[in-house]
Amino acid sequence: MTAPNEPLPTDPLEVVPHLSSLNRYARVLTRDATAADDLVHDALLRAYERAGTFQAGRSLRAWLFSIVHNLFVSDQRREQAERRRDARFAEVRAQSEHGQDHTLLLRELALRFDALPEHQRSVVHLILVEGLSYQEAAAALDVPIGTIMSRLNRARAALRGSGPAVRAPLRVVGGQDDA
Amino acid sequence: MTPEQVSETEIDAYVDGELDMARRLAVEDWLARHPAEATRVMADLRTRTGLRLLCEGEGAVPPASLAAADRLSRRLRQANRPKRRWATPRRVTLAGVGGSIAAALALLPTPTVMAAPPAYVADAVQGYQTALLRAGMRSQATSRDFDRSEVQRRTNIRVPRLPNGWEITDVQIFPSDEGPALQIMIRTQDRQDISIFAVRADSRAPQSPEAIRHGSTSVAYWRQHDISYALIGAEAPEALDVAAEDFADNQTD
Repeated sequence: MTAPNEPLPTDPLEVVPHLSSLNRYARVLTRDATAADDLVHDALLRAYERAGTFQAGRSLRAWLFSIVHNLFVSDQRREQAERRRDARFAEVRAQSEHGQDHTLLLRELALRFDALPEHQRSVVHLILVEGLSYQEAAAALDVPIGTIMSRLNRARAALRGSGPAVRAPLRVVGGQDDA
Repeated sequence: MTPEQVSETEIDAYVDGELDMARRLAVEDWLARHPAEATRVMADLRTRTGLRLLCEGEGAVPPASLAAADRLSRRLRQANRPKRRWATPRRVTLAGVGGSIAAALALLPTPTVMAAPPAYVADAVQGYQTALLRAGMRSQATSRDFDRSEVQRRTNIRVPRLPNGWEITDVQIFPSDEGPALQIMIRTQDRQDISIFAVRADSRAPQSPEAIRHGSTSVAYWRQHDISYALIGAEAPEALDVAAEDFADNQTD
């Protein structure tokens, strides 16, 4: 907790620094760059309307992520994203130049990640890529911390993989939702 | 010496940086002795780095979103502004509670129409929270005895007449910036705990009650001549507003 009247190192209400994160997350959810831009933009408008519900001192990024997520699951975007699911998106992600040696490794990882059910992709992305704490991720997804941990654990096992991942369409088995 | 057993969950938490130093050491000690598990941890770290690499170069933001983000920041700042003025706690014990309530209150009104609530409203909410705590603490005696004329003599606060069926559960007088403030805790007919706060202060409170809400608390505040009142409770602001209207009409002179 910060002492009152003590200036904070960075403005805690500055939204712009979180935009790239929100956009990456939206891309992971929607699997489409244009749909991701739309989702983030709509989320910002929704956040504006609901600014009164943000409690000072809480994590702004967790709040913003939760709005992006809720918007994604509340209308048809989720269905559209499911239809969009194919190996192409994963391929595109893995194509950028990361050194010849590891292109295959990244491609496999992208395919495995893309094959995860959405609730696991969300947790993995928020914690592993964006570096949210379990607590923040729980707030962003509105589930208990235990759920975060078990989803993460199962997703990790799937991402570690044992066989080749390039067996599209790849479906992770045993992925019963625990929420 | 056998190293301390660690669970898979704990190893996950280790990878994600969720453990304190003592548990980190326990996990690292375990991993140093268990190559298979250590290999798995390396694979998990590789996964994380790989996923981050895959996201590199993503996250370009369209200009429209930048503008929307700026507007949102301004809106959030506006909603949080009065916090600073109220953040200095007067009663040390509940500083945290008071601060967050004050901040929360500031978020409530529609900023275009309503001014920020007058300063005494933060005291009133803080007093309400304190009273709820007192009620839950066995060591804190509550005082139900209430002598209307004595209070009026000592504080110069006209004490409102309570609607039928409202039972006083606690009465407190405490200092505020504006002078002594009176707080009466009440259990209403339908067993809601609400609080009436009155202070002799010529505040900016409106003549007829204005109700606002944050989280689980609603506040209706108004002023009659030189006394400012607040009614605080867990009910919806509309219900509280109605109660406050009745109450304001019902006041003794």
